[in-house]
Amino acid sequence: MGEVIVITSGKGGVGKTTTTANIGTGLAAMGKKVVLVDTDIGLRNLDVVLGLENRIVYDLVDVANGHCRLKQALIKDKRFDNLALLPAAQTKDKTAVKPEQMEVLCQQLKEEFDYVIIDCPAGIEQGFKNAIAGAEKAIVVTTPEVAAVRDADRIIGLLEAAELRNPKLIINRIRPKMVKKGDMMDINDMIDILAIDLIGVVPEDEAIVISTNKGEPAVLDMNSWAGQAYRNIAKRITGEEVPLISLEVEEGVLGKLKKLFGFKS
Amino acid sequence: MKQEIVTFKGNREGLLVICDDKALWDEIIERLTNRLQGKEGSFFEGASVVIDTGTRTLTSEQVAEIWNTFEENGLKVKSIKSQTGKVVSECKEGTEGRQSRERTGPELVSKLPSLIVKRNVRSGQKITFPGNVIILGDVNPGAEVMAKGSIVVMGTLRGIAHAGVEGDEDVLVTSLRLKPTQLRIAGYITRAPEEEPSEPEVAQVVDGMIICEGIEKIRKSL
Repeated sequence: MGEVIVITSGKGGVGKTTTTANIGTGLAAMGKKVVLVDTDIGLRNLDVVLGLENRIVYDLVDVANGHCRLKQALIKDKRFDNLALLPAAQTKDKTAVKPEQMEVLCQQLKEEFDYVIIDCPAGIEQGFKNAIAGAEKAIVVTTPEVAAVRDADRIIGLLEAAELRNPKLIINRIRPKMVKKGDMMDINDMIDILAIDLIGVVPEDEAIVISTNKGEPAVLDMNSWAGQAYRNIAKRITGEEVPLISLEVEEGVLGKLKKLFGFKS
Repeated sequence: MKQEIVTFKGNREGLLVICDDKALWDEIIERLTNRLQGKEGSFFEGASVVIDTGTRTLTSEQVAEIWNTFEENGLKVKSIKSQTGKVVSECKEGTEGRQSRERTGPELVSKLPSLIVKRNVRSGQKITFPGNVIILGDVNPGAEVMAKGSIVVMGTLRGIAHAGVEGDEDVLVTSLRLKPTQLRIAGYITRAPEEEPSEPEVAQVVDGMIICEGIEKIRKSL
């Protein structure tokens, strides 16, 4: 029996889909059987980020309404045989699926896979309710912005009300240089407000933009800083203990010189 | 006949109200309101009630909701219990304190019922209660706490707190770290000062203004 994890945030654009794709691919690279479910009906993206857009025949709505068998709608990843995607429908909206149907679907999926990872749409309406209906665990993604943290807090409250206790936190797109200068929220500030366990910190990384556009998750790029962070998160999900990656800013020669002469960098 | 979703039973201590386990929460509240306001309603008036909410886990909003449903219809809630044997919320004898409305200076003892919330109150959540509210956790930005009496936050208060919502000025708001978005006591409104609080603080109305002071100073002045 696998476990069902929902990736959610409340606010849009903080990196739910990127996180889902990378964690899923990371787990698959570790040999786990993984299925990613896109519940953002009408605004699907996960297929694009994974580079599987042109393989979609059936989708989540078709499965939920019995228009096809579950197996027919699952798309096998091009890199890993043990990674599958259940895409969202693009021509319908969130009301095309009911929470009860999602519960049944998740039950079926977790019998087959080690991890069922659900990409939740932004917002707190029907789409959110669908996404969390079958989930047993939750990961909340936020960026170091006041608005994103506020929405994350709201989402944690809603998750708790839906009996999804102890959600884990991912802080995405942190820029260590800005934090150091005091221009960006500190990790501790965020944990202080949200009061949940941190499962990973992902630094801002240009490689993400490139990999997302190419449809190749950054987690497979051994040179990417963010990819390393996602690999660590995947390990932590399997129960392995991995220390947080160091966010110490590398000082250039100039920085070192400045320090030598007593300037503040 | 359809199974009644709320059952009223009289016993020596007063009235026992049992909520059906399978019924939806909204149905229960609706049925209770109907019965309390219906023709048998006047029969229950003034009774003290013990509420058994079955095996469900109540949120603090739900506790406040069911409490209000009874109190608004003239019943006194003694306690709310769940079948797991845990007392969710209890009111000690002596609610008569609420009838004395004339101002006699800050009361040293509050006899209002109290609601204890053992979790963080997060953005979008609201706690309303006709008594004192004690929160063992934080109140985050975007959250609201409204109390007829005082508010005590054993954590950081970052959201909105309104004590004395029915106009009682002799109430206070206190928190380990008092940095609310907005603080209201009765009809007065203020914002938190810019500087970080260095110790637990108490806010109360003094000479028509909300004043926040360190808890040590308040203790010494007593």
